Amino acid sequence: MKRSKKRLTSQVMRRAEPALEERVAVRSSSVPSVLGLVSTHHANAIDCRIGRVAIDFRPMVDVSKACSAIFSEVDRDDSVQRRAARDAWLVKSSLMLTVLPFNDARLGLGTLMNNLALVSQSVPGIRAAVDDLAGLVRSLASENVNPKRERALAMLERPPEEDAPVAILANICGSPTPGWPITMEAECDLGSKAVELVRLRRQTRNALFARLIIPGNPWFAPAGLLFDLLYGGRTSDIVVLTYRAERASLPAPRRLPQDAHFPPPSGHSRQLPEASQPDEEIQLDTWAHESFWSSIHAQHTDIAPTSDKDVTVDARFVLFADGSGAFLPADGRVVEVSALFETGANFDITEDKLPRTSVRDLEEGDLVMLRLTGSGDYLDDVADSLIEKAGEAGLRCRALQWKDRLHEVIKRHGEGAVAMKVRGLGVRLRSPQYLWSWAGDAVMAPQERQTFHSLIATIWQLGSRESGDEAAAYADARWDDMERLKAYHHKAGVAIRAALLTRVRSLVAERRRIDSVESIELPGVAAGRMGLLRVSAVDIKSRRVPRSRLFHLGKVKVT
Amino acid sequence: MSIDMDEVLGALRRDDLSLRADGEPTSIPPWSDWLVWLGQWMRAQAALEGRRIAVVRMPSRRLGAAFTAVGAVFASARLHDDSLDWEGLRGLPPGTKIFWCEPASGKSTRRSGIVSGLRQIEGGDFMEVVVEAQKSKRLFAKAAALSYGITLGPVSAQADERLAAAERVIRAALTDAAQGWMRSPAIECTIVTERTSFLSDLDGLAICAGPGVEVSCSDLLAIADSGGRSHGKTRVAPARSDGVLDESGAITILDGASAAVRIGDTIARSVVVLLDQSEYDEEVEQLIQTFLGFAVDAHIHAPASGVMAPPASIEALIFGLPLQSRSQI
Repeated sequence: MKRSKKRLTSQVMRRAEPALEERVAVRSSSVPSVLGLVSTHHANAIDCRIGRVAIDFRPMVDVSKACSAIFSEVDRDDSVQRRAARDAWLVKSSLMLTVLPFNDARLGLGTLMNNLALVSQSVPGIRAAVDDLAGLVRSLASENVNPKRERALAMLERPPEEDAPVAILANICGSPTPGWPITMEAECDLGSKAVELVRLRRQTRNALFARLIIPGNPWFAPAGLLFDLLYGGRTSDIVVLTYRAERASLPAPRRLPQDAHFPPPSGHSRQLPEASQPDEEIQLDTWAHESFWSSIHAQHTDIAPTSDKDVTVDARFVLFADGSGAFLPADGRVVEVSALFETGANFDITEDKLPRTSVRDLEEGDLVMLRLTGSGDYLDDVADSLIEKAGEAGLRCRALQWKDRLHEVIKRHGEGAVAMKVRGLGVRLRSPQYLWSWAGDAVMAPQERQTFHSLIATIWQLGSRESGDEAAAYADARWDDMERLKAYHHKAGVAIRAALLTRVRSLVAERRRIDSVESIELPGVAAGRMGLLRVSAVDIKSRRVPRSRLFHLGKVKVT
Repeated sequence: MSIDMDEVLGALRRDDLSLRADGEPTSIPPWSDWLVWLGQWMRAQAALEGRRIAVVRMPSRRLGAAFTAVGAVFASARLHDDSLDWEGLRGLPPGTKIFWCEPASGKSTRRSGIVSGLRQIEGGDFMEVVVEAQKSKRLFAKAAALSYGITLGPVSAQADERLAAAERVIRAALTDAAQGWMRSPAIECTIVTERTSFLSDLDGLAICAGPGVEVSCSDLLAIADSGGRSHGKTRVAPARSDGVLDESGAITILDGASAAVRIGDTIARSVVVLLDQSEYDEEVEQLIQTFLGFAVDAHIHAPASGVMAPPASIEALIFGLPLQSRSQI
């Protein structure tokens, strides 16, 4: 690396930062424009203060100890005992994180304790700890004093001149967060309209808050949501409200490498003093979070490519509210219509497109359109039925037969040798590996006719076929076939879109409530059933899976 | 090519610029002022040796790409060389459709035609075009061709007015603005982003270069339509496009993580990567580290007066790359 280590700070022009008063003025002016909003985000990010309020409450120390005892005694290779460990974690997390009264039935503590009691009958090692925990839960529910609730309610009061709401992060450790039932509402449960329970990143896009309360350790909260709130200037006042027995630390953004030109960031520290806590607690939290996705991935260990041409791609597993799940391409986009169903009125009848969202940005509560039967892209099936109706059966096979030849040539000579030949004919190739995309189903063909000619010429040369004229004629014929095939794809796309739009419009007009899945029959499009599925959770880690497995809905066993 | 970086950057009187957001006048906030400066600097460097990538992390990316592109527009207009436009015109293959503005009795009429070739008449260079409406031939002399505002995409009367408004702001804000840059054929800047939200954020935002001299931000950027059929200086492309993202243009702005991971599919001389706080994740970090392994400090052309320090809410990193490394890393 030839980078100079010499710092040139003397050659950096520093502009005067606006004074604190100016930044405060930016924040308090109720400018509704995007410019005003973004300027406030910048101002808040500079001035943000993060404090911690630690509550001394002895029973939570005892709850923590009882759960650790259960966790250390169970055999996590046994599915029943693993479930008991998770239930213990749910009891502890519900009690520690909630701001509801401890006797609120929505916390589900009774069911969890019953489950634990049942398991403890066959696992003597956890019996004493389960009894202790049951006693603590009974006592907390009967006394019905939740100190975190009391402190949170006191913090909801805002200065009278402040019109932004106070936010409470209700997605502290992914979804669903124990102690924060989805039915919880600020007005009913906290007695204030001026409070926003923040669960989703899309709630933060246009948001400004007078204060943010984080009622627990946010280490496992979705990164996009948490970073918007901590470092994205949505507020300048953040309070982390925990019991002293709760571990609390804030994930920091990765450090940007330093160069010799720009000064290092002035860096406001966003770290909290660590709460002392036994190591088992950290282990328990980490296990509870990781075990969820690892148990789902364990159900997909048999994923294998269907053929050599079935290339692997980065994919994220998406879990839906009906208990199904599918791998979606990490760099792809899907139709996502939750906003239409929330707002209804925003669905302009003249719109000819359904909104799409990047798979990276999907989050809980999104409403995604997928094929319910079969797998892959329904476009091909609809196009094929149009091709058949037009009496052009065999067009797809004929148009794409060159892919088999390319595949053969790559396998015989290696992609490096083929790439060198193609480049030698003047083709700008992203990387030799990209040849596999052309040989597979990911991409129909090169964008330029000339590039396709060069590709076919290369196949001919490496495949020891003699005449260059023959290659050119073949390339012309296949190119024309592919153009016709694309036209059918286009027609299929129009037919599918029209049918989908009609159906989605009627669902939006009805204000249909979709909790898990809504099946959509597409009249005239006999390519399988479509459906709107409510997203329940998205794995933040990508996995390499064969392309053929993308969009393939299957039932998932969630433990 | 040699340029005086300080002179190019100083040509834009940034202190005279202001904004209008939803009808309300406002001064340029420090974060957007810095991004305008960055866009200028990166565009100016694109005229010099090597490639370079700037990575910028902010609390929110919204409007970030727009202000960076505004800076690039001003730098492009300052650096523009008319003679290169003639080179571009004479390089058009016969059969290319072009559009121009014909002055006629005090008004101007939009016309289109098909290039039929170059001609030399009495030592002078002319481009010959078959006028579509009249099926007659028309010759554009080298010396006067640019004054007709020849473009490769159609420019409606309305679009013509918008280009004129943008030109007024450029001339008012820039010392020695090149004539005709706004109508010159080349795309200058590619923004890889989500088009709908990018454009909706620009709604109601205008750039002012003095009393009564203002233009909407999207008009100043002269955004080409998504199909590339109309004339424009800025192209907005989706991150999911296949192959190379920026076949033309001196500067490319990768707006967000989905765009950032396509950094290997860019060929522009200057690339700006804009990220919010959560987007500089493991994947992007590894990618940047890979490119840093090829860094060439000599390809960063800092102004003699020094680079402008970003405001406290913004972190930035810049590194140079060898020119031949483009899209091969």
